[in-house]
Amino acid sequence: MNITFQERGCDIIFIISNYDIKYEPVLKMCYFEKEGNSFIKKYNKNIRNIQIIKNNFLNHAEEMFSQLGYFTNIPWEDALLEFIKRVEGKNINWWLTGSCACCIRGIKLNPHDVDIMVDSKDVEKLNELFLDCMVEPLVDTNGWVTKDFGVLFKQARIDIASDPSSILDEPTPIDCGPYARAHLEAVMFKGYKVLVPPLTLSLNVNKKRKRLERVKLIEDFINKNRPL
Amino acid sequence: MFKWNKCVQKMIDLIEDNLTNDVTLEKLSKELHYSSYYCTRQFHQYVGISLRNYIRLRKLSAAALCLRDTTHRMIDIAFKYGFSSQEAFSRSFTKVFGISPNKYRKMPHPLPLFVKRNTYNPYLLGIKRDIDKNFAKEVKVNIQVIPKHQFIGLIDYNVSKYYDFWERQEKIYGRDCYKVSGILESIKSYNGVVGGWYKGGYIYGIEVPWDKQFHVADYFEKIVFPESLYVIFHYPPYEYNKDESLVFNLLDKKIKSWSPIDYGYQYHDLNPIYQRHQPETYGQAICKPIKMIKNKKNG
Repeated sequence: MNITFQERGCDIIFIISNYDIKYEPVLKMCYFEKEGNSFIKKYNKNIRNIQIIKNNFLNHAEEMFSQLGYFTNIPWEDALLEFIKRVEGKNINWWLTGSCACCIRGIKLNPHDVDIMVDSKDVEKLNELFLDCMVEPLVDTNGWVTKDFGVLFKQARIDIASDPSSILDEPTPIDCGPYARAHLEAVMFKGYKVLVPPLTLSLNVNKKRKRLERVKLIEDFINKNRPL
Repeated sequence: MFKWNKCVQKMIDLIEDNLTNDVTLEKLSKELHYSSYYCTRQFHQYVGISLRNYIRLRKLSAAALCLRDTTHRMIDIAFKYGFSSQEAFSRSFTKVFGISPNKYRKMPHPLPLFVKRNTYNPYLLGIKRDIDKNFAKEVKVNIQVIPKHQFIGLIDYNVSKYYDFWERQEKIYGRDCYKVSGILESIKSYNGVVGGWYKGGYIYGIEVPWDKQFHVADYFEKIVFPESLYVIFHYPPYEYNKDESLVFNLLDKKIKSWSPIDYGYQYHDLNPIYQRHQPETYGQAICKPIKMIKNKKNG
């Protein structure tokens, strides 16, 4: 896999070429666009610290994509622990969503990344704290579902998104929307208290995405742990 | 009376006409001559969802149909519906519909599309209007073959009227008309979502190729109907909120006065009667299955 960078007008382009064909679905999943024989992603070249982010991407991209495709082991627990230790005591509001939020309750879902939700007011702090492992800049994406989005790689991929929009809760609340944020539950993970959405919301999102194996695992867990 | 039903409907119609433009609260409130705050509050009250989310969900749903029905580049579709990038579009689409636009384009499967809302329905609001027959157009009658096809949709053999049908669906089964319509509209069909009658009951669904597999919820019936001749009573496009009753009466009158025997046919009930209903674009048609009368000379 070749990773190169190119400046085009106001943009800096992250280019991935000479990749094994097995990476194609992974790159698409990560919203890289096909351009000829390469996959590319554009960022504004004036984004702060873009040179450092480029280097981080160069050093970690292949390992990250390999994990995302389940071609190698994914130490998501180490990544989550690293994140928790770094933000501890920094007055940053954050919560865990996605499959890891189920896993730390004891449901074995086999995550390929760690999904963290934050408040946009803390984005600056996070940009400073995680600059050494930021592989995609944490910036305002003008998105309809979340405000800022960025990616870290610290042993495993960590996606960070801020300020979920209420559109995520239409028609049914899911595990990363404002409803989830308003109903967080505390779960202990390696001695730390982690806030996660209610399991029913994780169930909703997996039903929506037709991930039937995950639906079954979550339903089984809910049924086993239902109070008598 | 029903002033805000009408005003919110106007906002909905304006949004619908401007799905590929920048629709803002400021523009809408200017049209209505009310404050932005009041408009957005009333919209939420009457539609049950914020104006911003409504616009976004309608745009995403229209973009989904564009992905399904055209070969336009995804980035062009993203820009067309107001996204700042292909990534922003893909991310929103995936989160809202649970499938990436790429996957949906390759293998379109039913999605819970967000369909246009209606807050001003004279029938439901009990508004009686004088029908101005002077503007009535002619109901056209023609005979067509509807090929063998599969009907996917809901059937209730206990009711024969549209509003009774939905009352039961919503109360007994918890199935919301908008939700069901959204799923059905996401599937490419011959004539869009249709109503109709079959074996004394009311039906609501789509006509699709008979040999295609669609993965829909179990509560949707799937029935293959054979090829049949149909007589189509068609009224051209009209304004739904204004002329629905007039069109219904005109169609009814025409159907009663048209005798199939005069043309060498008779009605049959092996196939359903379909009601195609897209007032603003197609108009309305009642399609009744017929067959030729055997042994009729010269006929």
